[in-house]
Amino acid sequence: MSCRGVAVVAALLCASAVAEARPDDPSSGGLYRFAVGEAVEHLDTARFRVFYTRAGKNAVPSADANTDGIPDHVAEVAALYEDVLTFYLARGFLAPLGDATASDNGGDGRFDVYLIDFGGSADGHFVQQSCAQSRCIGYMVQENDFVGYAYPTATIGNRILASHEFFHAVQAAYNADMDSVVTEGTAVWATEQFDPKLDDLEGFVSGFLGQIDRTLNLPGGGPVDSFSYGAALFFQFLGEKYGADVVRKLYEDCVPGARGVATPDWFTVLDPLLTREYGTTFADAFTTFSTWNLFTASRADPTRAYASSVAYLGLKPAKPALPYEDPLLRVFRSSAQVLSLDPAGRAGFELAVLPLEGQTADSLATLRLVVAPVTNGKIGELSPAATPAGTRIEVGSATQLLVVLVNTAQSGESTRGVLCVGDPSEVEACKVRHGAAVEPVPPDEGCTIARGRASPSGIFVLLGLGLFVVARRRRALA
Amino acid sequence: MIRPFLALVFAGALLAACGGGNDCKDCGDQPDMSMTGARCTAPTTVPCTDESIQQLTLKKVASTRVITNTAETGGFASEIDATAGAGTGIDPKESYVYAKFTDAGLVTVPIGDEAAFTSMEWDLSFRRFVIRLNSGVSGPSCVDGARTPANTNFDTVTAVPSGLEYRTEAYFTATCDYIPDGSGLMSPGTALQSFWQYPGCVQMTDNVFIIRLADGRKVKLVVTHYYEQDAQDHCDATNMLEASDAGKSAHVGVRWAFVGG
Repeated sequence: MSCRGVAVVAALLCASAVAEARPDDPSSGGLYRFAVGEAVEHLDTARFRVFYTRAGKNAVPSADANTDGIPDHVAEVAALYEDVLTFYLARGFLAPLGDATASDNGGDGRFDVYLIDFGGSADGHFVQQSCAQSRCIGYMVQENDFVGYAYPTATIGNRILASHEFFHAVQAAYNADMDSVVTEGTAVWATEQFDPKLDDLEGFVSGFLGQIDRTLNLPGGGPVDSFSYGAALFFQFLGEKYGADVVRKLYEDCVPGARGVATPDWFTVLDPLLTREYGTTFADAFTTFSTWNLFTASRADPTRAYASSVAYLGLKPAKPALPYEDPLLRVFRSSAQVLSLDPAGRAGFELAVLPLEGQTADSLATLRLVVAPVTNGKIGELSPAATPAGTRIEVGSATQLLVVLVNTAQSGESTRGVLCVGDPSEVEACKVRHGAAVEPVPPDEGCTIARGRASPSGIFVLLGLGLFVVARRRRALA
Repeated sequence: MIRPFLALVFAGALLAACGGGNDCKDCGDQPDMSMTGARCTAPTTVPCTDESIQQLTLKKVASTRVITNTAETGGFASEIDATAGAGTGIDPKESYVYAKFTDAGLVTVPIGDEAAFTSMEWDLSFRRFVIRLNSGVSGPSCVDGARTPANTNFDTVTAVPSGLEYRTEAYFTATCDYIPDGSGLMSPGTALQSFWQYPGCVQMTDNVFIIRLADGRKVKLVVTHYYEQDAQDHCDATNMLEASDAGKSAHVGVRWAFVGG
């Protein structure tokens, strides 16, 4: 079951909800059901049956402007579901599995939608009724009138619910055993695809951008998993960067048995998909994604990142004062960290990540560094992604430097090390404090490549707009 | 009245720290009771630390919140500021408060969450309504706990009852899949989680626990309140929390004493 909540209480309610008898069965033990005595009617369209009642706690709004005898709210819901299904089919997605052969199927093989009063605890959910080989049939339960909800209108509530929750039914036609990052993330993404004017994605992305240091495929903690919903941003990125079909293809590869994988996981099949269909890798795509996230809110630039990135709020770079060292640097797999550095009059500084005591530079192999100079709120040319073993950053005209550390690994433990940022002497001292052995190097060696224990090979990164990174060899002080 | 649980998680302003906290920098002065019967002395590698940090929103910086102790016959009543800077939000902003049982009381161990993964110094930790023991997926030691039979009276426990089922912390599976406490809050399913129930507010079960420390000593413990005592009394009596008491959560009280057996 997927449940779209609006409050902490939803987490409590949804967590304990199970697929009982259908909501119009008076004996149903489900949390969301019609009350005993309520007269339940239904409206059929070609592919949907919408159940509702006109009186009682679960009554839908009674307005019937066209006097056809059907409450306008019900007619709207039914038409919306038809529109949504048509849209998803046009995008190549499967329709939800039919329930025609199920013994409890709402009367026929149409997909069933029940309009129930959620009382503010949530606003709708797709109930998985029965499953076989991870593919499930089910039905929708949806808020009956949205009275007391934050949606500007019931129509907007209906449009969001019909597109989001119904997408869970679509997902269940592929594989219902997937984590909430992909199920909720792509459901929010799907709503954005259906109607970009809805602000659901925009409302959720802060849940992700505020936690970019979390592992991408690890659902969020706490009673409200804002991370999973906000992860829609990753799928939005995939769609904008590689084409909207990438999400559908991802689901196709998640069908049990697809491409010879008995129990595929979205995060495992993603890299092969990107390689096979788009000529890239997860590591490269995730690095690009992490840099796109810089171009959000006041730094938005639709020509270089998301089309609607001005509305994507929530990125919270750490703002350490220089010099800075973090002896407990930990970058989780498939996550990123952003530092916002104020040059404070410095012409340049160095940044180095040292492996932990007893480890080699190989332990940092999946870590990538991208530097973005910011001048008057605008991001200049990004540095090419590099390993962050030791780099010198010239400030140039930048008033702020955004440093992105990306761990491109999809599995394994977090990358840990010691982060040193500051003037060369400050970084040297940091290295000494943390036991870095630095090789003495002749001073006239060309591009001045940094080398320490953390740096098995040289790095040379050239940045535009007066910002460049030159790594230097340093003489060991200890 | 407000919805009590919302009051819990959206707790209001924090109360001032009680002051007079103990700190484990003094622990070295305590008599060493570990010479005999030590259950473990060397730290083990804690599994699933990445997952713990992310799932439990663990922090690097040590909490500075305090523990105060009042001596009782044979033991202590300890008050732990477990508010963790959550303010009116639902997300704790600080590390757990790490603590150690000593003859001088329950003292804080000033370490952050990440450092706690390699520290044998602490016995248990507190943050909001979660109490973790130093064992299993929580820490490198071997502290474990068991619930005594229902309706056990704390004051009458003078020795460790037989037949108890001790638990180390195991809120992640062997493959690091998370095991929440089943409340729907996604908090970890800890060894001592049954100190509370939620009929409408965080109500004390008065379960009495036996905690076995690394040095072999044993502690009996009961959690007396999660809210400040007056709010807890109201919660326990009515299953509700007054709106005006919304800021009184996470001021955890425990009674404890070393026991033989």
